[in-house]
Amino acid sequence: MSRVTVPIGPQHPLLKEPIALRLDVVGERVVAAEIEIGYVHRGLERLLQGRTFQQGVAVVERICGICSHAHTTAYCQAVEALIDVDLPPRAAAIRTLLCELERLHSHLLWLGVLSEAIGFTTVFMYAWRDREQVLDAMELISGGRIAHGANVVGGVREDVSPAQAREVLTMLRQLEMQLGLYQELVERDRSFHRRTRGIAVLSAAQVQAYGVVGPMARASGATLDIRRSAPYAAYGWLEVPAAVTNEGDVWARAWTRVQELQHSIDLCRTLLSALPAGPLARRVAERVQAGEAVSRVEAPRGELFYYVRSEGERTAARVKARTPTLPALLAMAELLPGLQTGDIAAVVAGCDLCMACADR
Amino acid sequence: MSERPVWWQAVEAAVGAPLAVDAVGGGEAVIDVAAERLLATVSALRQAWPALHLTAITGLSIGGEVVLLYHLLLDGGLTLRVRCPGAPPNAPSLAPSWPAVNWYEREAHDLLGVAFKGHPNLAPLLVARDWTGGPPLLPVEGER
Repeated sequence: MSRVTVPIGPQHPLLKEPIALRLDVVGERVVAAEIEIGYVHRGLERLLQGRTFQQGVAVVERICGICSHAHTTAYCQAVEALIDVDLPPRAAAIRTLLCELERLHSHLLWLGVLSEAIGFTTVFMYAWRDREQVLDAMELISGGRIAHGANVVGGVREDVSPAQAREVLTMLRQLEMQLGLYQELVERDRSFHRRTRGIAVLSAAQVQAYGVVGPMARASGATLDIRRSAPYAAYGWLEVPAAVTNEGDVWARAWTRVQELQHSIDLCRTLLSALPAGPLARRVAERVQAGEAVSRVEAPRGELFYYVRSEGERTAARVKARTPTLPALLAMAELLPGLQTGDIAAVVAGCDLCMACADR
Repeated sequence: MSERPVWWQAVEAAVGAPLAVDAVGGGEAVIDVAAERLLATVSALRQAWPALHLTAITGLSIGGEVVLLYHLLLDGGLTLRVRCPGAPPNAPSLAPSWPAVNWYEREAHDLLGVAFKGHPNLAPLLVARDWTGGPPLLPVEGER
């Protein structure tokens, strides 16, 4: 059988974002894969160099439409380390609450994307409906569904009133009832298993070689979770359970995320039941002393890294972001060869890619 | 530092000189590594910590010089600071022995024009393939 190159993308129906895949296939089997990114490169790191440290919050928030709050959390943490300011406890708790709500909506979005990719439209509909409830809760707190504008350097901008807390707790209770459906899906559904079990197995050695992070790595036995290894914001007060399994296939990536949905619900409840009193933010000077700082947070897709450098001016000398999608893409290029063409969609969707994050 | 971190001995042996450690905000250590000792240093670290994780490579343009920061994660964060001499700036590539590095080096090549010696494929990653404006993070004359 002859070898044929199938170009997919950059615009294609599999993901909502542009990525070019060039797959060499022989019959129904992929024999080589090449990935090209950069189609949504907006030069945001360059743009940040001319902005004040406070303006930078609004720019990094626009890197990603899913984990926007994780970006501002990591960026603010780096600037706060530069100016050596402590986060007020209430600000730390609200920041963390939004981080966990964001993880809920990101994981539900992913579950919907994967389900649609394998033809399981019912689950896609349910997952995205439930995700709407989480977005409503985030909007209730911050006023924004996608860009929340909740973080500022030195704290948070939005408070959580007792009435808002009650509404979010109601949403969490409803979501938890729905969660049983997703748990049953990954534990028992035969159709789901047939499309995900043993597909695109990522070994622990590959996780190490490609620097894969987040739920994708934890589905292959890796334990790295920044919330546990280097707790930030309010995570030091919380107990974050590990959702780790060794299968390494598409199914394991679903299992890990469904476990993390339950964990995030529990963490949100703990935070809402005991929000510390006190101020929302510290006052900070606009000019930041010369220096450099790094910051790591556990975004929904894994370790998100920021480096911020100040030369003592009002504006940042350099801001660098490394998002978890980059190593996932590297690993995906290794996972595709050997697959049946019918499994490509499950594997690409299963890697939880965010091209806006990768391209910046 | 009162107590030496666990990586000290391995890194000092690979660097071949007493270590001068800077701390950066966020509580991570930074050490200077000469470009020609980079491969040996990273290889020594990977031997000592098989689970060594490279989080990112940050490229900086400071006063006309390009500096690369290799942000590693072992027990805590450790950053290797490498000054890239030459015009265009160059550095040895870690990609042949560590695939995780591949795209980070391509990105630094895109944005700062660093030529990584030994890299298997330094094709543009983020900037458009027909981009002719030069590396976007290098200062342009007459522009701030």
